[in-house]
Amino acid sequence: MTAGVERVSVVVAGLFLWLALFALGVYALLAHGPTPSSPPPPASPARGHLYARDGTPLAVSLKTGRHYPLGESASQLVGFGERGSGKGLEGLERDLNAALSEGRSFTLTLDPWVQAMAERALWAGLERSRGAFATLLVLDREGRILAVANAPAFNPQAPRKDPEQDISWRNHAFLVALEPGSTMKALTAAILLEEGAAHPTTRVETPMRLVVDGWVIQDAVPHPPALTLTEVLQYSSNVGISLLAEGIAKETFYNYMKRLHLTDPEPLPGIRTTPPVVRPPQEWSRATYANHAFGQGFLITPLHLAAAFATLVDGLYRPPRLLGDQETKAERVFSPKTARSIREALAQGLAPRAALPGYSLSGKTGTAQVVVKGRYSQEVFTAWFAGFVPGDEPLYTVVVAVHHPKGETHGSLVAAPIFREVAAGLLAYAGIPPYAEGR
Amino acid sequence: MKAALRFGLLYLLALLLLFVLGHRNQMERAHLAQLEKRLEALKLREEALLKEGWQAASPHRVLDWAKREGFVPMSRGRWER
Repeated sequence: MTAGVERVSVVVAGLFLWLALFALGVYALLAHGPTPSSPPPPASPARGHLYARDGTPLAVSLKTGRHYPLGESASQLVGFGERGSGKGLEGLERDLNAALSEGRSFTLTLDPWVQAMAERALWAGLERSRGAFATLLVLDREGRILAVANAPAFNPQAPRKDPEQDISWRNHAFLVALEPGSTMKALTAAILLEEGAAHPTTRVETPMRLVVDGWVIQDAVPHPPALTLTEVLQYSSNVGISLLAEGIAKETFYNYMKRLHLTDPEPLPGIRTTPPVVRPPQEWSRATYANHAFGQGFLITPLHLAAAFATLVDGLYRPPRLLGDQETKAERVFSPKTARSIREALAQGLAPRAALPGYSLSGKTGTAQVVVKGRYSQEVFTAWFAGFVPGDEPLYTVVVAVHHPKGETHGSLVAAPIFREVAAGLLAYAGIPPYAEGR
Repeated sequence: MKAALRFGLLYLLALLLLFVLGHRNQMERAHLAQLEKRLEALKLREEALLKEGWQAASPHRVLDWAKREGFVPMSRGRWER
């Protein structure tokens, strides 16, 4: 018992020592212990992806950064962003930046196979013609954009060059407004048929040279002294189409341009396009109207031309679509009969370098003069071809533009072979066999 | 004195327990870090394989192959092989 009482002081002392040490430990933890770090900011969602219509990824966010799986294919359309932040700087990366940075993904109407076929033909065509740049669009019957090819090729992953010197980053199809040249004659002819001002067999006296208000209008291809409307398209007669266009008022012509959305500053809602440069008809002189009839004197992007040309499929203007979920409404501009008549006329006068034996193709060439330093240049042209594949029951509308080709400059020599190459690929892709001979 | 020894023993036992728990914790952390590193490497490998797959199946590559093999669209002539 005595021994137990003696131990009490030791036990109490031990207890106090323990308490003191414990208190010291608690104090040390509170005073010098690890302070809990502030909660990390909520992680921003990964940048959204872009897909082609078949699910092929076009732009994806990986751990290693933004990646463009198709490389140079469709690179100008898809665009690119800042290397660090990923913020879109050009193309769809820029146009859809707000939604993409919130993690929203998009599926485009683009078909990677049609895109690749278009690019192969265009890249080779630009190399042959030694042009400054070229572009090609493929639309299907519903106005869906299947391909937006641009040349020269651009690699979004490679180090970037000076954007002023090297324009390969630019989506020329949406961002460059050009004069459409003689491709416009097909639309002018359709307007004339629709208004009852002419018929495919309407004949007009066509001298090789015509002076309107002091301006000289000339034809490039030698032709008989009188031509029907079909032959005017075949010989691409500037004189013929401008004389026939006098059958309707310039306001009526402009009204059709509006209905064909050739004056529309935003043909693709939400996607940047260069607005057309078209003056109102009140400002047109007789010479200006004549110029408009064969596609000079106003500027539109190749996208505008493709969408307007697609109206000749069945007479309905279908707003072009690039995003899969876009809803659009078709508007009637021409009757189906008018559209068919024009396509038949174009098929009859098809440029030899655009033709494929065993297949019906139709289309119109164009060689547009380009204004350089305020005057029409005698050296700089834009070679065009706008056509349908196949020509009788079109599945695709194709528009080709080659800017400033060297050597051969005509649309029939420069752009038509590119169209043929793409048409050959499209016909094979759609599984259309050649027609039996004699059909 | 005995009480002090007993307290000391208890203290040592507590220290031992603490050491065992701490060691186990450290081992687990090292293992987790190793797993995370492996996962990271696997993710990078997955991305590299994905990129390789996309490149291998890209339409341009397939069309190049078709051209090399002599396949041409029907409209440009029959199959040449």
